[in-house]
Amino acid sequence: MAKITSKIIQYVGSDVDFDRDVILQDDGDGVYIKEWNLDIAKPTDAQLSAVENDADKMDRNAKVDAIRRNAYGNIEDQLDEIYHDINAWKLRIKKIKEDNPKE
Amino acid sequence: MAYIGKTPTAVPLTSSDIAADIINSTHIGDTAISGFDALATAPASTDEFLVSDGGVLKRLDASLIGGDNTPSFFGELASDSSDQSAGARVKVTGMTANEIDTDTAFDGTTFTVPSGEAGKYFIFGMVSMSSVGGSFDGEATDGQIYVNGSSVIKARFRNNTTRDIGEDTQQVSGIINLSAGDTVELYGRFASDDYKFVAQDSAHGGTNFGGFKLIGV
Repeated sequence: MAKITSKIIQYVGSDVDFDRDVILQDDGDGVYIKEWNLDIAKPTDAQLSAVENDADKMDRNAKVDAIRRNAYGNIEDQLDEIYHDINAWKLRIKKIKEDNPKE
Repeated sequence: MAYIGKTPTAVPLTSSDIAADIINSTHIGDTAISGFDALATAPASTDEFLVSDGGVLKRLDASLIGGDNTPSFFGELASDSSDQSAGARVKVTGMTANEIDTDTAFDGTTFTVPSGEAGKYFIFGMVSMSSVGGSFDGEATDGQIYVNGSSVIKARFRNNTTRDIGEDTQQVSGIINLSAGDTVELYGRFASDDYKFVAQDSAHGGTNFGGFKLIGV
């Protein structure tokens, strides 16, 4: 099941600030939309369900992104790698992407 | 005192009739305030002190000195929480370990101000959160104190780089003016990965919640 944040982003069609635009809350009985501060209408459950597949895909790709970021290493080390052998760095990055494809 | 003949004339006692330092505690009854007996325990609220009020010796009720910081409450999260939804402010429940609850007003989740105990309270909370969703794309965390269902104090961290957050602890505290019947709760939020609240351990810190009534304000 996709994250509710991902479903809302898919419904809105752009990035959402979940500290200002939309406030989600769980008082112990499940997550609900406590505040909706966007111009687009607050979605119904049916509208959120309709974007479930796209949100699922978004979540899966986010996990791939995390795996890639971890494999890339920190930016300082990569700059040193580029300085010493930029082609070797390119090949390493390319392999990480191929080994961890996005949908 | 017995006498023979005419009854002697009564003469008032003067200070010169009494040698210096001759009267001590053995001459004074127990009902007099003498300092003869020591109080070996903390004074009850109805016990009294002697004080000089502008040079005049007076009794002072112990209840008028200092006071107790009660009601007071505290609890640590007894075990890690179930997984929580990314980005949602979630009420922390189950803070029942090492609990302090002077007025039976804290149930491990909610502190309810007892009747007759309105006033200013120092409230504090620590929310330890750990990513569980696998994307580790945390970009913001916060801890919040709620009163009657609304956020009143918030501590926040927001990461504007692409670096990930795997774990974070938010400490939130403040002085809140509370009325009898007000409810006080602790909320946490971790964005944008699913997460859990972490119980106390040496590696991760821990989640806890507490507070006490201030005196003298």
